[in-house]
Amino acid sequence: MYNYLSGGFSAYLYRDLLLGIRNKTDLVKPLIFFLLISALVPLAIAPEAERLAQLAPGIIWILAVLATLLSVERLFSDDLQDGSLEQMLLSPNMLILPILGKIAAHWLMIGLPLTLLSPLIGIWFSLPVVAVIPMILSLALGTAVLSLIGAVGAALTLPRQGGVLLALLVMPLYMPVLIFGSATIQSAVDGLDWTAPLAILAAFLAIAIALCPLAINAGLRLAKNG
Amino acid sequence: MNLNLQWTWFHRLGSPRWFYQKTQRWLPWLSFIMLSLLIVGLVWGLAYAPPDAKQGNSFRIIYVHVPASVVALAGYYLMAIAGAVGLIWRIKLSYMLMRSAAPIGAALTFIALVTGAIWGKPTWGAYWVWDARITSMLILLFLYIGVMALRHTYSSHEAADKASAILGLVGMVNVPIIYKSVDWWQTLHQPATIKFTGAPSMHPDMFMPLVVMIVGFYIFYAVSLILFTRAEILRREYRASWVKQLVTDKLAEK
Amino acid sequence: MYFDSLQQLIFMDGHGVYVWSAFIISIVVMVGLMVKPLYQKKQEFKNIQLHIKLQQVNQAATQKEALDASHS
Repeated sequence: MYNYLSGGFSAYLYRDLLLGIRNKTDLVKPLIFFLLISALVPLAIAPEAERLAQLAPGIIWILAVLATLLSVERLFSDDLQDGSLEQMLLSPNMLILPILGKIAAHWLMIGLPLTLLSPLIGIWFSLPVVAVIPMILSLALGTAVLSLIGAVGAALTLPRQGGVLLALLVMPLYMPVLIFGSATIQSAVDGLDWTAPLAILAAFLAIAIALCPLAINAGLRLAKNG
Repeated sequence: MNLNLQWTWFHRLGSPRWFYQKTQRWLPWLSFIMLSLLIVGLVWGLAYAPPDAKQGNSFRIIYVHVPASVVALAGYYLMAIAGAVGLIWRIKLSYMLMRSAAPIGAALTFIALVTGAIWGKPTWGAYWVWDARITSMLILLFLYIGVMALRHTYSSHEAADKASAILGLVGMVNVPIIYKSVDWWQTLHQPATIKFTGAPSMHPDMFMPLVVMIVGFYIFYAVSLILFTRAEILRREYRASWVKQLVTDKLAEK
Repeated sequence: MYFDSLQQLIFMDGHGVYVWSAFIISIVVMVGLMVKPLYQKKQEFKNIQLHIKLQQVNQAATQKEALDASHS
């Protein structure tokens, strides 16, 4: 009998991870983008440690948003092309767990590496040491929210496969995450309590996990028919 | 049986024909109320209300800025709810309302942004300040443009309607979060020295024209929404016999 | 009226440019929101007229064809 609770989650998580690992270039692209643009910032602004440290929380978060946006486009389009999306949609049930499985795989391949790489960027931008742990935590929670919201946009724009439209749909929805994410780091730099904005990020994640799969499910079914 | 009777009004409400014919009768009245309210509010606000103690006469921009932003925000909810009604009960008219609401809301948001920028110059000395209300309005404009742009992704009306409705709902959940986040972000960075509005503390001589203008803008929104929806009904229902009858009657009149 | 003269109403202690430009832009956009759907409606009427005419022509043609076929 089909298990409604765990059905599909681990299967899709495993499948997407496997596909990602076999196709390494897709995995590395967002990370290289993240590092490359970070290296441009000091060149474009100024190599002074103080100014960079001031800008660091904002820049790290903007780059995280852009890197996720770049990668989330492919979340469903590859599946649409090779027909496996249609196979997934054959099920009459809500596809909440398979969708969450795919998004979890996306986060493990994009959000988590970005998070782990961020201390390096922190060193480049002379971010104070006290802010490193808040930065890692806020990125870990925040990129998961970004993946979930981005997946909604990717599902809705599937017939035209993302592009500028995806950015237009998703960017306004990213705004709160960006605000509280950079505020977590900034609070830590300023020596304030950084757990409050982090808690709000966690609340966003809880809401997004509950609601985004519903919208993605509806969007995917539309894309198949439309 | 009883249940059926109760729901017939709901489905009649959802009939494009019923809407087209009823609004034909409502439009002259609504337009009359709209024009009188807007003219009274405009003259009152521009010529009779006293100037603000700190901002002087530039404060009079409030009489378009605030009504436009209030109605633009309410319009987003209306659009999202119309989309939800369409998704749940499959009412065609509801989708038409949703589609018509998007450009009106975007235009009103645009008014709010432009007047806010103009107001900023004499108040803060700069055309653009990242004030909480203006920032939220900018995000709202992007949300509206997103809903309008998403239509072109889909080839059929049906799929486009559903996709816009889903996006509208996602946006509706997000709009309060965005507003609160931006408010919080604003207080974090710089407490605004002069705030746009502060309605409860306003003198009645200043406040009353604002109320008149807000009501006027709501009715303007209703009239514009009705006009856009009527055009949309004709576009989509051109095969319906009542529409053909309407057109041939009009031809005969000439 | 708060202002003593019409000139003062227009000038508004130096804020006139801002206030009047804000109001004029708003009014132009709002008039546009009224005119655009009315224009669209007119266009739709024309389209539907064309549609009806085309249908009539088509019907006449098929009737004539059927008539010709029965004669020959």
